[in-house]
Amino acid sequence: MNNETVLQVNNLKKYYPVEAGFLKRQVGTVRAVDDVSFAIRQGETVSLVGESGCGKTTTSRCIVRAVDPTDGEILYRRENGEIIDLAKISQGDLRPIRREFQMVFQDPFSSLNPRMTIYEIISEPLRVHNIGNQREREDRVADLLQRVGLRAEYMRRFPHAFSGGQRQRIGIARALAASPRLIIADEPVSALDVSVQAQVLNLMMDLQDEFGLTYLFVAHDLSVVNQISNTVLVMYVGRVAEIGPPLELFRRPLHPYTAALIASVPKPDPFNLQDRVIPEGEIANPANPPSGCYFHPRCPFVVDICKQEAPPLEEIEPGRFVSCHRAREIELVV
Amino acid sequence: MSQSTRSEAVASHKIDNGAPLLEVKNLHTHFFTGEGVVLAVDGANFEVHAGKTLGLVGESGCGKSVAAKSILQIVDKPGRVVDGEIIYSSQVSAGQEVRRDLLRLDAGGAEMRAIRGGEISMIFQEPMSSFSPVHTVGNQLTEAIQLHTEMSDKEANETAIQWLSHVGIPNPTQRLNEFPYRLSGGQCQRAMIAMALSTNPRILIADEPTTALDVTTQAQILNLLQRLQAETGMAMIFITHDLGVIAEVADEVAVMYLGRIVEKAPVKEIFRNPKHPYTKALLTSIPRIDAQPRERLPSIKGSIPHPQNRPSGCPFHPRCPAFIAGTCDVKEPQLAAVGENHQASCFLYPGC
Repeated sequence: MNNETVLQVNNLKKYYPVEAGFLKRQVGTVRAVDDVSFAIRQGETVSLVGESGCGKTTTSRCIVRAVDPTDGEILYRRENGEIIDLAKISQGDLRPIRREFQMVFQDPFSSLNPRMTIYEIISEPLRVHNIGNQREREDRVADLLQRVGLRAEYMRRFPHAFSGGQRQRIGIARALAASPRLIIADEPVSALDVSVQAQVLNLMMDLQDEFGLTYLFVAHDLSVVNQISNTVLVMYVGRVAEIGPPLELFRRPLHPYTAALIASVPKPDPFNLQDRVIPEGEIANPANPPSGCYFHPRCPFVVDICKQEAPPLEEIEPGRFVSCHRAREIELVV
Repeated sequence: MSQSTRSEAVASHKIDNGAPLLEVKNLHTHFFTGEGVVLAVDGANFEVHAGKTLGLVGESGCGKSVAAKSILQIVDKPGRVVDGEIIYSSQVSAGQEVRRDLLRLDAGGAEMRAIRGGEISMIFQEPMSSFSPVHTVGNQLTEAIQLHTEMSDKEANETAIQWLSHVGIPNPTQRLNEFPYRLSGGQCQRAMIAMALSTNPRILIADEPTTALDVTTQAQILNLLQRLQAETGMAMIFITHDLGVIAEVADEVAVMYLGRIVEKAPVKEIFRNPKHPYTKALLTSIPRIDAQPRERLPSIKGSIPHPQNRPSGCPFHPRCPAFIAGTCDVKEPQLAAVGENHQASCFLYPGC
């Protein structure tokens, strides 16, 4: 783990047992996250992208320890340089460290308590971590509200008085309150209207530059991910398909699944409607995945080895990792 | 996806004498709530032509779904159509058309019930919650078919199986006896489409049919709808907030904002030559997969006003970069021609 790395995830696994019958015997395992590794550098954004059930949210929840990982390491470098493994630490020891990483949630309507004022919502992390007195907290909340583009007077109001975009700004202000270093944002703009999405994305990028924040961004929308990321991690049924910088990954994908995702995104351009090659079939069931590479039943480039062996994640070009047996030989066009 | 051959259940409706199949004129649908009247649709005008797709695009609360529901008279209470005309030309026999104002029909009467789900069908955003969870897929499909035809149980069953296989559901015979929870989201939407099309509708209203689906499934469903439209010649009203989807499926586009249509044009014209500041801003503010990463997007200031807090004059004026004080906040612009087949409602253009 080099000095610039804030978070390094090594071989993270989260398995859920499938139980059946009166005695709750375990009849199978759902591999929600299966051997995921990546690193985030200070001040950068890594995005986890994929379709439903790909394990992107579970990965992010393991990192904040909302769920306990089954296996693997989550190495986090603290402000003072100390490195701790979040996967193994007890909840009690984790508590003081929690201030350093905060979450922004998808649904701005259900993630704010309707009975609390905006001041109470934003200052809650300060109360939890015993930061400042009443006076200082009020100043901090006023300052945060202005930073996210709202007026300081709004702190006495309740969430119902705000629109979706404004509420998401409040959620961001709350995440920033305790001066965190790492923000984990799970689909922060997908519930917002298009005209408001751009505002919130711009705000998140501005705050990142201003405070040197590190983001782990979870999303399903490739266009949004392209806009905000330094590194994109494409997941499929709990495994990593491909990692790379967005500019290269979206123009010249190395994994057939990435190419399929890109082809499936409807482009706002009625002048270039080409016949798209869309993957057939459905996303594999993580409780009963196919053999070998999980994508093989839908992959147009499938050969025998794909059905037998799961491909390892390899760096085949500098900064570009892919798990595909045929990544070196196939030419993917998008 | 199983690509079955064209089944016999599919009837073709390709008649286009230039007259629209459906004309919505000056539609006003208001909601009478305890806190006041919400003008959900406030003067909408659009036409639907046989074999063509009209894309209704807009953000939340712009009235696109309410406008579509008004056509079928299924607006939820306390909403009510207060003004306007919805002229639909029914086919009574080969080559003979009757033009009727759907709003003058009794919502629960025989005529309207024959049209709703029969000649005009609708599919919804949440396929899972659009099916009854306590009846089998087959039960629900055959019910729809028998409501609109005189088929026997056996015939209806066969038609249902044909349709399920036609929309690409594997093992249709087995699926017929299963409950909706057994189907994935994409399969459920396919079954919904099978149900909507099993009565050979002339117009299909699709209300955000792919919004709840994953992107690869969305692409499959969009392809399916386009294939079925090419086969049956049905017209579609496609409601969405996603301009990418619009670019792909629509022939004509109507952009809505706070209950009004602010711009209307053929799809290429909308993307090449948008006239209304709202349309322009929408097109520049959407994130694109081929954009330069980490660049700031031009964004529209402010947010959509609360429907009970509707701005005076042009509803977009508080957010508009081209706002003209004393005009836009006082007078209401009208939809007027700004080019060939192109209408917009904005004071930047004469006649509005």
